[in-house]
Amino acid sequence: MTGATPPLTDAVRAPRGALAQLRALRVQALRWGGDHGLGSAWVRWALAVAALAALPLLSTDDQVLTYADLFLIYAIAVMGLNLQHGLAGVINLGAGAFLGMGAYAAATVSHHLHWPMPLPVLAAMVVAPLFAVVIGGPALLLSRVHFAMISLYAALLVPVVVEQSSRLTGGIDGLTDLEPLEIAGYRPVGAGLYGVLAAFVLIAYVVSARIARGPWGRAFVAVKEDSVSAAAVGISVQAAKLRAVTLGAVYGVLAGALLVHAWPGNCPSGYAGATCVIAPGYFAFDLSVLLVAAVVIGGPGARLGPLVAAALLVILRWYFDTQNAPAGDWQTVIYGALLIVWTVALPQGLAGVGQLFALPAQRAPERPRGPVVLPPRARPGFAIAAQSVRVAFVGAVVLDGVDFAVEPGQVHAIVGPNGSGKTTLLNCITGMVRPAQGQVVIDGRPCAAVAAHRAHRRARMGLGRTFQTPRVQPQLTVLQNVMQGLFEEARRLRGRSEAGLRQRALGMLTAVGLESVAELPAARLAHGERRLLEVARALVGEPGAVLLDEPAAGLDAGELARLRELLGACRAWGVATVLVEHDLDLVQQVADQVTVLDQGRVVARGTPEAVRSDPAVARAFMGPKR
Amino acid sequence: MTPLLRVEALDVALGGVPVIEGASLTVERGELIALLGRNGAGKTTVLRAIAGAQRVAGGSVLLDGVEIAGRPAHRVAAAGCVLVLEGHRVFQHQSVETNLRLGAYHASSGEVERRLDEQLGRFTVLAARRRVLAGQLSGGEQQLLAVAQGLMAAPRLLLLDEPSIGLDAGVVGWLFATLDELRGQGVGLLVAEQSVDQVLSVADRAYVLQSGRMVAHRAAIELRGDSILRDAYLGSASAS
Repeated sequence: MTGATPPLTDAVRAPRGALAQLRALRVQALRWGGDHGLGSAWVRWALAVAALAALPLLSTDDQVLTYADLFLIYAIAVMGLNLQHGLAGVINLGAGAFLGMGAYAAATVSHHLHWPMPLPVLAAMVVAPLFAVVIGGPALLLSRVHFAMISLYAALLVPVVVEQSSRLTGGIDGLTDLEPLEIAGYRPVGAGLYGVLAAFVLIAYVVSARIARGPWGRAFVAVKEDSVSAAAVGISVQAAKLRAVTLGAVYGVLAGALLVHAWPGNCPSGYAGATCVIAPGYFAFDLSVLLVAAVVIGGPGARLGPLVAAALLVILRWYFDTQNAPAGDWQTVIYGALLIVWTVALPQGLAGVGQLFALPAQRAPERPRGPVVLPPRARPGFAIAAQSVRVAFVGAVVLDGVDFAVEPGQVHAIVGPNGSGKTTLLNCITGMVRPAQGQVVIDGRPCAAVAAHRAHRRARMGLGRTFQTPRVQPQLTVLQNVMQGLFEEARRLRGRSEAGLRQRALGMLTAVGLESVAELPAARLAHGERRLLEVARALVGEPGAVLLDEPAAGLDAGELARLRELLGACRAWGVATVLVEHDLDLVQQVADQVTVLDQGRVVARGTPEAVRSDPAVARAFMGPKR
Repeated sequence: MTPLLRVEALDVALGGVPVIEGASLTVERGELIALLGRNGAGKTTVLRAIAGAQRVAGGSVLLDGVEIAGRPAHRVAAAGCVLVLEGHRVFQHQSVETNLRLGAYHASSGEVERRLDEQLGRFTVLAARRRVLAGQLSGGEQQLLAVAQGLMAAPRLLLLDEPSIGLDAGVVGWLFATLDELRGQGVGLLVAEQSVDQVLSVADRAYVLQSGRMVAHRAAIELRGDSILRDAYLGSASAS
């Protein structure tokens, strides 16, 4: 320790300002709660259930109960939209369309086929994925904007289609003789109905929380944050988005069916023995606006925020309804205005208010590090090769008949001046660029076939990679980023042994020397650290071969030493390693073979010593270009 | 004479947690200053705070004697202080030439042409590919484009974050020679860099950051082989 650097004492790091004081208070409160057993999941669950149960006890007023029921039904729809919008980043402007389709699916089954309750509701949920595929399938292949546009059209179109198909749906008059919800002969009314709806909400909440925590939840977030690196760990971007839309559609359809068949406001002639009605106007555009508003105001991706926001919006609607104001028009204006003000003031929604009081994660103190240890691997590494690969972009030939191969347990470095085609060669091998000629062979299997050229498929074959400009998922913690690298395994395990996967991710973080920042959001990392994070993500899934694009660029001396040791460990680990690198000293120290590229051609190949003395190499690096 | 840049007791906090504490430094006209330190020490944060891309919690940033702390980034840039970030942040779907023109956003059209000719004359690799979309350049070429784009603003003070990333050894040498030439023209340069030997071979002075504090300030020649560098990089902090 030099005299110039005093140790970081608590006094120096003490929070300043009023907000910081509040944060400190909150941390104390949380600590107190933790010490006294309030932090456990059971206590929180008990509180939530008690809060839900308290409402009908507080007021026996039918009107209060009616709006409480409405909140519960909206809560289901909002959770579904939150899976799409909050987790997967799929912007759905027409959530109301899914409610409408669900409601009409259930209503037509009930009206025309006379299926007993609750079969019509279940039938609607079964066909929900069909709605998702019809609306989402083609649009999701394109981009986020396309899905937003198509969903917007859907919201506007569903009422029109319903009006036009009057034989099926009753047209503009709707259907008036619908069976109310009944479960095993029990027709819930009043507080009983509230209880049934609350049970639906709890089940929906548990399911969506499980999804969010599990491998698919991580995949959704990966797709939202950075789809290129998502594909690189084996996530099919389109499949993940379609899955999120489908799940959201099931929630929306359930909410729609309940709105029509269970909501007291919709079964007008009292409760017992009543029939329910449906009309296209129920699913007009303002319903979609309300649902989007709830998610945005509550905080996309947050678990509780959107539900709280939904409650606030329902209270707002109650106020309008009881004021006899021209609610329909004004409500939309108010939701819109709220949406604008809110997104500007609080981009993370109500959930962001909570975060203001949370202490941001900090770097843990670093401990002295042991040697790099890679966990024992279950599968052996495999060889990869590129054979006479040729790539041309708009006329310019980037790779011209390049052959390249690496065996398991070998480090093969690719060097060459800027623009010589190194990254393009990596992109060919990982399936991000399709060669015009030649083929890539992975683990003895030629991958020229169309089906195998996509990046996520290659990743699933056991190909790990890092990127020249580090691609991490900034909002996720460092540990969560590494967990993404275990997607393939987590998917196979279907959410089991998540704790074990977490341990493996932590182990890999220790191997690359990032364990002290595991809980920090990746956005807070310096770029050298991001590179090491990428390396950890690429290695954690035990790839057969790994391709590293300039892993040493921007590393400081300590990190560079760690990387050097790690590359040595990779060789012993039996993974085939491709190393694109400008740091020729590092290449000299760790590579078994070096390939020198210049202007898309291989100009030299051999051991580092042999290549260094090759005159063609000197020409490539110091050539007439400069 | 007032220095070109004087940073005095700069504090930066992320979400209430201080990450830069009391950092001070100066850059004179025609001086190349190295900003060194481990990754995570806060080098990028200091550069971003000077350029107005990061909110400052305390202290002052004087550009030519004028307080710029708290000014938005575009106004700091218009005042002649330009930051070139790492990770080749160029407009991927625009041509090389358009990217360069955008760099001189505040200049008159005649001046833009003059500067365009100047930079294309300097960066011949870019001149050969001026109609190509930036996204189709290799990573190293994009890095050069980012630097050239910064120079199009004709800055008085150029802040560079890891300019050597992704460049082959020959180009790195050439780039530092170019920075040396800019210094000769009176531009002040503040360079955060991990290629310590490379940057110390051209820098006048160097500052060393460790865990958000300036722990050393020396002439570049003195700093080479100094134990403080080894401490700052290899983490003597772990002993505390």
